[in-house]
Amino acid sequence: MTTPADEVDIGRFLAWAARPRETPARNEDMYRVVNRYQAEPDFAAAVDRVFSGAGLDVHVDEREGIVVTARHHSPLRLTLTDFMKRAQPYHRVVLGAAILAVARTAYPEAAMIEDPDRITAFTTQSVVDTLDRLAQAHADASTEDAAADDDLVEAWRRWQDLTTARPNAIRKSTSDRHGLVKRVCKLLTEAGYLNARGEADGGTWTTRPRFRHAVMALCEDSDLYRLVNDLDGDLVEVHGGRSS
Amino acid sequence: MAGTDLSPYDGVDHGFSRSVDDLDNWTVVIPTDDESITRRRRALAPIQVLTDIERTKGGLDGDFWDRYDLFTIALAVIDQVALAMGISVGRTWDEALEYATSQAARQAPDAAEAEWASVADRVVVSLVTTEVETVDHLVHTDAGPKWRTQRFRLLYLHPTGSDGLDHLRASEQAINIFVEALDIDIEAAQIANEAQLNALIARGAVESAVQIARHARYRSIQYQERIRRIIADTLVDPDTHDWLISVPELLEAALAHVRDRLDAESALLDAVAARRSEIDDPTRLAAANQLVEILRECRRRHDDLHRHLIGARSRLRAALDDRFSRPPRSTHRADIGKELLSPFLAQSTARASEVADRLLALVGGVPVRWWTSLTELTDELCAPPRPPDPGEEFHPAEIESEEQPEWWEPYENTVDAVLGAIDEPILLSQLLARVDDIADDTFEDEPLDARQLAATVVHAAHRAWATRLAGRSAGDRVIVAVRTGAEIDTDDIRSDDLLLVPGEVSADIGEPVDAKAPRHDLDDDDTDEEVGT
Repeated sequence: MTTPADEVDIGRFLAWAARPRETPARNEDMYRVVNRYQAEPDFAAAVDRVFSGAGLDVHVDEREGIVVTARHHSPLRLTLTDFMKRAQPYHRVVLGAAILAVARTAYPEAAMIEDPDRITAFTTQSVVDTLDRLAQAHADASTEDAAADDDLVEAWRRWQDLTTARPNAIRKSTSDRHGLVKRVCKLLTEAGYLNARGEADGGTWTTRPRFRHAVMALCEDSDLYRLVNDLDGDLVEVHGGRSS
Repeated sequence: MAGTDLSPYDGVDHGFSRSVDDLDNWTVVIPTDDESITRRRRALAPIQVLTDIERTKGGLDGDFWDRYDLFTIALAVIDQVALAMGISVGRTWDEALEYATSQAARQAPDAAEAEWASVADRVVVSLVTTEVETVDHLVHTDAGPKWRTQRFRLLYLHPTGSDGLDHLRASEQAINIFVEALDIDIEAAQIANEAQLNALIARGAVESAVQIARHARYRSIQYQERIRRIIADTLVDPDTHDWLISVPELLEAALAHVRDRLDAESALLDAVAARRSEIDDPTRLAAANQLVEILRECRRRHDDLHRHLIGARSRLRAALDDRFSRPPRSTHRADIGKELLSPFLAQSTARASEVADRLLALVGGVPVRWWTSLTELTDELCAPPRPPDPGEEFHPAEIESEEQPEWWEPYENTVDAVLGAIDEPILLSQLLARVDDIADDTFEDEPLDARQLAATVVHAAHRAWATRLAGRSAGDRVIVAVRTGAEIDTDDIRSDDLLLVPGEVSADIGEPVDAKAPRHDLDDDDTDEEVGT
């Protein structure tokens, strides 16, 4: 049973959850609600229900604070239009690839996700290299030319279509590989998952330990797994023919 | 490693007449599957990274890299970090950068500060990002040769405390470089050191003994690092290390190491102190004092390691209790590389773009911010600034507007670039047809709006129609527009079609003396163009 005071605290919890770069150590009030979440199962359950209603999943860590990941249909999620106006399907594709590649670079081995102390440092260049290598592997394995239908062109071709830029070139645009990856890293920095560390190799980034919660959510999203791995033929019919 | 061209027995038995049998006996064969070879192969890999930092500097932007020795700066940074690990938690990123900058400054004292900074940045980044790459090496197993992947790091960041700060630490591999033993068997090297140390103290060779003591200090840091890693690994997966036999053995060995170190350091301190009382020469006295200082520091470290070791088991137990009090994970966790990224790249654009929405939702956080109510906002905006206290330094309000480019600048820059790239005559209508692609290709943070861009193109083209030639000098590039007589009439634009012709000014054209010379204006009747919004 929640009291009005609890409800106020749930509100405070939500407010702190929306500030991903804050930590409990730096804010007394945040420390208090995080502590309550961990110490009082009833309070935690109430918070979880509220967040679940908003389509959000909560992970609480006493050091890292509150990590919130949005579900696919949450009205509070970050959408592509927020990120990039008038995004074409191929923009989305390379963006998705870049997000996965950053996660892959940050946690090259599955067990690393479990390590709460893990901080990976990586450069924009290394993410681009990862994607280049994988795309090339797909290209080597493929014997066919790209499909004429825009919707059917494979994602790796979209990546290869992006222009390459010199890693230290000053002007960046999201239509080149480094610019796009850098953009994604900036987004992740704003979301509280990365820290920007310098400009070498197109940008150097270090993960914050809380990034593992987001990557975990990504790895445990069974719908995502199903979609990516084509395990559900029906879905292809429903969404595949949608024109954009 | 010296005398690389000598076969193993050369130089050992000069003067002997050897029979063929002897030669067979003497030939020492170390096959590639020998354990020592494999161990060295693994231990040498970090050095390769350091060499690469130096070797690949030629490919970097800027022409100043030749003046710096990145290898030595890298070594110095690792050393600084490793030595800081015993006393404190390590060095922060900024401290490491600062140190690297100071070393770069020493290598090229007359260079600009920005240059040192980029050298420092390059070195630190190279050291912490090694782990992203892996080194493949061949091992011989019972089933034949197999490729294994070695993943190591030289420096890594470790979160410390609860305030979200992180510190750089040096890995075991990195410290190995400093103990001049390309081998990872800490214990064996320790015993050898021990014997050496005793012999040196017995003979009164204090300086050499201190050298060994310094090595022992690295070993201690290495022990500490290994034990920290074992505990961290165990927390991730309780079965990674054998806590029944091998880990307790290691803890025992480490404790013995510390005990011996403390004994040896006491003995050394006594020896040095004894010698110091006999010294009259001031320089040698200063040297002896310095040795005492180093030994005291070694001792502090070992006290620290001792505490660390004593607490290792209880810390592990507390952490495991905490872990077991939480439910075990039950969901399947996909492998990012093999099960998500690779199949994602194989997906069609339609499917992959749909998946991208989900990915963005997951990592995007909660980007929601609300404005305060209008009344409150106006109150805040209209509130008079706080009157400064007497004597307080005046800071003008920081308004970022100066840094921000005006919204039209990207459009004008883009159009300038497009017009600048024209090398043969082109119709305005052809340019307009390309506007959509250009808008897609050139946005940075904010995408360009295609209609705005089209308007900018039309304006620029009409400026070229009335190209101002006065004041130009020979060799300048100009675009001259002429009417074709055709008209462009789309939903957005109604205008005369123009032919844009690139050209070059062949002679200097002076400013007209009569400033009242008529000029075409854009609002001329002939150029009525209208941009709908």
